[in-house]
Amino acid sequence: MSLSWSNIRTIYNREINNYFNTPIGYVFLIIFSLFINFLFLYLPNFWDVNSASMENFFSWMRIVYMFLIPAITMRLWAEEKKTGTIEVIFTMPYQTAETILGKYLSALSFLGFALCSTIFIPISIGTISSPDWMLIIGGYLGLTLLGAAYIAMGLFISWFTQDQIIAFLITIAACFLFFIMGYPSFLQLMGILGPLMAYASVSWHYDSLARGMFDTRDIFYFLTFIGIFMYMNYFAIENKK
Amino acid sequence: MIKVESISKSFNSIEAVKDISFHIQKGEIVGLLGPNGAGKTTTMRMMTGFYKPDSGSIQIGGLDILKDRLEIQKKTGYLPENSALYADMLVCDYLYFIACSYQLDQSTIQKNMDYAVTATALEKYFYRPVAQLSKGYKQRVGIAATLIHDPAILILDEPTSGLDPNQIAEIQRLIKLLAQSKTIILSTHILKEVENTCQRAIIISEGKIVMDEPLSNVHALKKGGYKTHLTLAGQISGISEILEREFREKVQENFLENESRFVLTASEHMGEKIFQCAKSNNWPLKELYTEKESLENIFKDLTGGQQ
Repeated sequence: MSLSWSNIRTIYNREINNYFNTPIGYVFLIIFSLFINFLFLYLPNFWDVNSASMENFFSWMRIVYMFLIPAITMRLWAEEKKTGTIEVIFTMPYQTAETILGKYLSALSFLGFALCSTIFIPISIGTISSPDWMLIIGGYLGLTLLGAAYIAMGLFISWFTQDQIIAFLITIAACFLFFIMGYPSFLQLMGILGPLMAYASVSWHYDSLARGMFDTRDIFYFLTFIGIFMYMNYFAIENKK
Repeated sequence: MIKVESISKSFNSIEAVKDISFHIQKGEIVGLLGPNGAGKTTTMRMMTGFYKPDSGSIQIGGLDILKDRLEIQKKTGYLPENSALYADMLVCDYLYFIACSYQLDQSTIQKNMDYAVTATALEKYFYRPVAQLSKGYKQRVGIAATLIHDPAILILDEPTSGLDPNQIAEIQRLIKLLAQSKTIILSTHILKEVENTCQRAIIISEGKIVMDEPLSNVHALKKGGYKTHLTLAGQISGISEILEREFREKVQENFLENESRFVLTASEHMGEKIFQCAKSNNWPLKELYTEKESLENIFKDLTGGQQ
């Protein structure tokens, strides 16, 4: 099966334009930007901490992602199914994998725009002090990989419903589950399965990257996570035909 | 051109299409008729590669839908039911997106978009958002999208569904125009649409083909192809016996307060002969007309009265 990048680009353009064809995409990014900057500066108060660190920001983003990513992915398949355009897309000469990749990359790009809107935080810190840039780069890499993993999962979940709200809520629950799996109180409940659950959890790998530790195993984990959900999405679509 | 051989499709335990077979020649306009839920849309979706048949095969232009789906999709234009479109886009952007999906080069895109927009009279609406169009114009955009890659085959699922009579007439005129150069399969449950636009009718009921005939043969299928209605002033007895003796056909009679009505069903047009009979017998003729047995009656008989 050889994929056509031209086809993936066509789907990508259509999807990325969908975010910005209405004011919703812009409003979403502005609110996100204001909200995240407020969290960073005031919870806890950045000026009282007396440290040039973005630890607080990367910590908050883990929680924000649980709502941000489902909001980005909820419509990807659900809207197509509800409006019937799924018939348009699947009766044109696209391979299933091309449609999945086009949609996935568009959602990833939108997340990229959202992350870019936070860039003034490290720039501001850099101008007033000397932060550990490796920690900041590691944190952003972690955020990118965490977002990429959640998007693959959200895209997969969106396939199973016509209702965007249901897709949103189920994706929140799934993000929460994969996140909580790495926490000690949860692991204690799992008994001997604890270490396995810890390794399967996204928080375990994200926290490692956010601490500035570039471990290829963490990157491999996220890439595997993405691959599994993309393949399951492909399988679910083919199975429905 | 299109060979559908023994295709079946089930959803969970429900058999939507059961062992359907038909062949369509190049240049034919075929109406896929049937009540709601008969299996028309499922059949069309299998022909466009949206669904895979559970069994059987579909060949279009010598290619198999399971092996060569992408090649077949490049040769066919499909209008889904209810003209599903991306409502957030402008008409021009939507058509451009569809054109790019077929990997056409820029000059072909320009030429084909001009053709599709002119054929569907969308010039005034080219820069409008799809969401702001009326249902009739959305349907036109859907049809324009099916034409954008100049396919040899058009598969139109209920192209006039939900339109007002003027819009229906316009779309039917457009389909007839397109039929000059393309093979067209359209589904509908509006019988008049098949009579107005198609050369051949395939009637599907409960997932099976119950009739597949050229329209010219359809009217001859039933013994009584023509009904002649005769109304005489006053209540007159013995007319039915004379008509049955003279024309050797069965006559229905109905006596009202001031008139007598008779209906003679025959395989040929009997209006002139009955007029001559009435004239020679000096019957007080009030009304005389002949009508073709409608496809509707045949449809009702074949589908058990479902609409």
